Amino acid sequence: MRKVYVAGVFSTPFGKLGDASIKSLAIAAGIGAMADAKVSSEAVEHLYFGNFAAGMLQGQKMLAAVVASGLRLTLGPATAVEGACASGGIAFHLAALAVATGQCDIALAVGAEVMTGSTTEQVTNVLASAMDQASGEPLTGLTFAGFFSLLARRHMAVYGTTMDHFAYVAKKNRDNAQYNPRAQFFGHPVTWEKIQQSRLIAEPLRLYDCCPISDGASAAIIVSENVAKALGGTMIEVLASTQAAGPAALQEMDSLTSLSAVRHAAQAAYETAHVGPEDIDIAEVHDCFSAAEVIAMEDLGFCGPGEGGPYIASGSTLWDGERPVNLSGGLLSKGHPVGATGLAQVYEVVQQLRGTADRPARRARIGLTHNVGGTGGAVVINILART
Amino acid sequence: MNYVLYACQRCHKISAVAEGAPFHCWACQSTEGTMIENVSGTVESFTVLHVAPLHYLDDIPYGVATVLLNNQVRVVGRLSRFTDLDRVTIGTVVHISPDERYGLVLHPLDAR
Ligand SMILES: [Zn+2]
Repeated sequence: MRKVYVAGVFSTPFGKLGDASIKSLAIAAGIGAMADAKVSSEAVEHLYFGNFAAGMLQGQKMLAAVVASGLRLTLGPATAVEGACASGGIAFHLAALAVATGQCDIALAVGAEVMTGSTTEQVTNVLASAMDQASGEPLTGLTFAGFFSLLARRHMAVYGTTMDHFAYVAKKNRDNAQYNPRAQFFGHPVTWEKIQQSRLIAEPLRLYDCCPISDGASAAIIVSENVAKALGGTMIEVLASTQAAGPAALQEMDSLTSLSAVRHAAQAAYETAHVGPEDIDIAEVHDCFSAAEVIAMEDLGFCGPGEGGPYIASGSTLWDGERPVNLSGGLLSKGHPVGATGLAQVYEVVQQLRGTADRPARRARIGLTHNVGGTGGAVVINILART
Repeated sequence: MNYVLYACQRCHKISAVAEGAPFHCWACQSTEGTMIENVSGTVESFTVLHVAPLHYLDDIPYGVATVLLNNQVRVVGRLSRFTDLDRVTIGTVVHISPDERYGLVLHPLDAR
């Protein structure tokens, strides 16, 4: 396998973006990433496009071709991937794989989603389509908030995790978003009281424990070592990009307090990168719900099983803690345009490693992204380093 | 239509099957199943939904629980509408019945 580098990144603001079409957002992100890398559209050989819901919400499929044509990409394959909330991460993973295996020297990964033009109930419906329909579980009326609430309550019962631990995640990420002008809740801080007294969505989780519905697009240019050196600038190497599959139904999970695909992808990523969790300086993790960040800390090996709540409450993951997590605001406060999220995580980590983030971490040489699709059915972990 | 419960002989997962229809395990595709009756288990975790998909808006608020059977197989079901949701806890014993609309319905023995 060849060495792989991230030469350019871009992210649109996340939030309610009015009448912006998914095509226009995706093209803006693609152009932005190419400009950041200083590569022309004629030089891009492969396109990987991540999206989840455009087929259902906008009636638009065939988006890889639509976006490739809009970007004037003519050299090689344009491929769309769908892995629910991990769609953007999978697009990045495949682009990195194409460069690593020598299929191309310059690949573009784009992720985009438009959701705010639909009602909450429509979006809830579409998200529920990421569950295994044959299992019968969606018939119960279970939602994704419900799924993570089941995990949250089990985690509380088994390990003594508290609602305060979950609120701590929500507060930390909302505070972080106040430094990120692209975040959906930039300029909208909240108090502890408001978080803890917000309306119930799926008990025990409340409104501020849940990520918002968002529009947005993010992109990255992935290149070979020769191209990275020729382009100049800070070298950001992809030490590892791994993907793992897991259950798409609760009935197939080995435990309700851990996502097996995260453990598997993380283990493979650490082995490939020759680093351990202790070497990770910063991380962008998939906090679709506050409880998911608690579980992520454990599955990524940042702390032991059951220790996620106290670990976060200790301040270890704050901006000035030993390992800041979700300095962007995370999905909870940066926003979660489903197909864009995995690439937005890459955007944030790359800016931190370059030292060009809106609020730079005190130490950021190695960063990790953790992107989870559905009930943990698809997981992508990337480990990036400034080299 | 009447539904009955089948346990897969290969993977032991539970399926609700329309009476008279052939059994087909949702998890492993096996067609070897055993009809089961009087199935009960204990609540492993539960949630009460206040935001619902389109077809369930009239049900709000409603409970969904994961239940572990004696053989540790997990099933997911809708808590019966007669359930006092404030009295459901982890460990609550429920009787499980197949349901055309909700897949599986859970009837708590001590939380009505
Ligand atoms: Zn089976």
